[in-house]
Amino acid sequence: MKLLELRDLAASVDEKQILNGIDLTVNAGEVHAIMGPNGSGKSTLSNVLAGRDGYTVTNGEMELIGTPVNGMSVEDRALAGLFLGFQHPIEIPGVTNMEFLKVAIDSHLIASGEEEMNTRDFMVQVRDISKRLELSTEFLKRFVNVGFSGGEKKRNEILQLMLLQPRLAFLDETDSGLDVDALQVVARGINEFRSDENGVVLVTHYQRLLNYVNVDFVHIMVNGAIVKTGDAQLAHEVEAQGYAGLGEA
Amino acid sequence: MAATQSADTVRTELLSRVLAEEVLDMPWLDRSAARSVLSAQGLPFPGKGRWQYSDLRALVEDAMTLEDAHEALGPVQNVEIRYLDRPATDAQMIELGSSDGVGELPLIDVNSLLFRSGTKLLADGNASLAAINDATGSVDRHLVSVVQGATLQLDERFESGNRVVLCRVRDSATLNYDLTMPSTDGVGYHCLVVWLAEDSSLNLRLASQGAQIRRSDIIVNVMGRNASATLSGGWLLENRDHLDTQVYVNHRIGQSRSEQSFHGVVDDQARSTFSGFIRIDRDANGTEAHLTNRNIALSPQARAHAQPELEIYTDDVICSHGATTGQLDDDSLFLLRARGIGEESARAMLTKGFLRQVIHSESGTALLSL
Repeated sequence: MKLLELRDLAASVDEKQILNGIDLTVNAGEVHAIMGPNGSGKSTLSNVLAGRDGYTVTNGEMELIGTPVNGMSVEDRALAGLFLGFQHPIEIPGVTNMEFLKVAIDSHLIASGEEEMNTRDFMVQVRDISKRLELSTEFLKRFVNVGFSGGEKKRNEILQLMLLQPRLAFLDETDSGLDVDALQVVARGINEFRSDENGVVLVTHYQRLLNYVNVDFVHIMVNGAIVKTGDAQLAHEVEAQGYAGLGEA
Repeated sequence: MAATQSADTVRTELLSRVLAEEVLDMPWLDRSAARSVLSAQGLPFPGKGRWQYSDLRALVEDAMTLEDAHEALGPVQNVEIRYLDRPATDAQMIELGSSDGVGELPLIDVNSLLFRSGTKLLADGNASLAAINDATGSVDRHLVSVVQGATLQLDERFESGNRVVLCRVRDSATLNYDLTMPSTDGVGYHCLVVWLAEDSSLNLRLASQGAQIRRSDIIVNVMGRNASATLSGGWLLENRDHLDTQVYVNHRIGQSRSEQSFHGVVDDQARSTFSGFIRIDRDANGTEAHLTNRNIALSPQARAHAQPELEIYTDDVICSHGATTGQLDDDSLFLLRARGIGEESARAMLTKGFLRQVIHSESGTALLSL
């Protein structure tokens, strides 16, 4: 089943063309990695997909589980099954993590015609996921990402992923700024999440996350286009030769 | 062409009406000082300076029409309560009418001249007081003393009317003051003045909604070493609400500390003003004073004016101030929406979050539904 299909996708930011015709298909059960140097358009792709203001699709098609998403609101894309993992999860003072997670899960449940989750079930579930991600339950009472270390912020992202169970997880440099221990915890979370029902796209600068998560496809993105696609071996080539060596390919 | 009344004419005319007002005569109250100050200095100019954003005339006229509406407080442990309308000796009540040391705040003198009900509270241990005056719409005056080493928790609710509360916090005493001002169609002037003696502390927690006209003056005079004042609060204004908050913190002596943090939210066509003034006297070496005021306008028609001011007469201080007015943060909004939370709910969550950072009292949390 096709979870994501991008056909000749082009997009601009502030009238500057950043994406120049991207083709990408992600089927259920697959894990993809998109690698590329800084400025190649990886984060733009994430934002375009999520429907962020200021990012304009100038050409091509973008379908999420068979539905065209261009024109859909940010929240409707999320409710349709897209999860964007943030490179820099921002802090929201005054809003507790608990409240944020509860409203998020309830929004998903209500959108699919179900009842809000009762608080006890919610707590059991959130505590269980926190434990698996080695996050103290104390942090649930804290404001979203406020005073969290870099590793805690990323683990908090993975917690949201595991709680919301989207069909397609598009994780934008989730591995950046993590030490080895945190990287392993995050990778474990992604591995626990992946299933035959969902798809994962890891946007990353480095190969190191791929030491812990097995990927089916690696795409190399340069100047807003995918210039090469291969299997996990391609990531090792990047590590050895750098992007410059592949960009010409 | 009909000439508009000049600010000067309004001011003079208003003053003569205030001075001609028949005041409640109580032998133990000396209103003559207020009368002579008003006669000599007059009222401020409406529409100018500190009265640019509040209708002075409406507030003064309101004070002249209000009736006595006092409700007695129940007995409170460790607090001695005296009422203006019951027999009292001169010595007990005379201080109530005095505005000595308040400074140039003419509306306090108007209150001194006109107040018809009042209380004098003396806390001499650990005490908690749930109200100053439950009634709304009176001209009243309250004097609160927290004796040496005592701690008073005071909850005050103010809707409309004209009220001045003078608090003297003696050496090593603590005053925790929760002030909530619910939404009303009425008009109101509220003034809180606190004097802090050595080693004393004030923790003021303010939460307000809007009114047709509401002006709130808060004056903190730091008179003793090692005294500290922590002022925090927020407001949420909707429709055509108005709120004008002016805070003056005067550090008269050094080795003292003050911290102000206020957040305001204005929606629809509401108007807010915040003026935060810090003055550090020549002798106040080693003072530390901070002020932040952040405002969010939720609608294009809403207005939030912010005006921090510093007046520092010595070099040996640590002082900071900052004020911002903006909109809800786009990145935060995007994060919430990217998790499936609808835009309206996301905005509501962020608005509450913004206020929760500065609303720490139970009454404030309840008032603003946080």
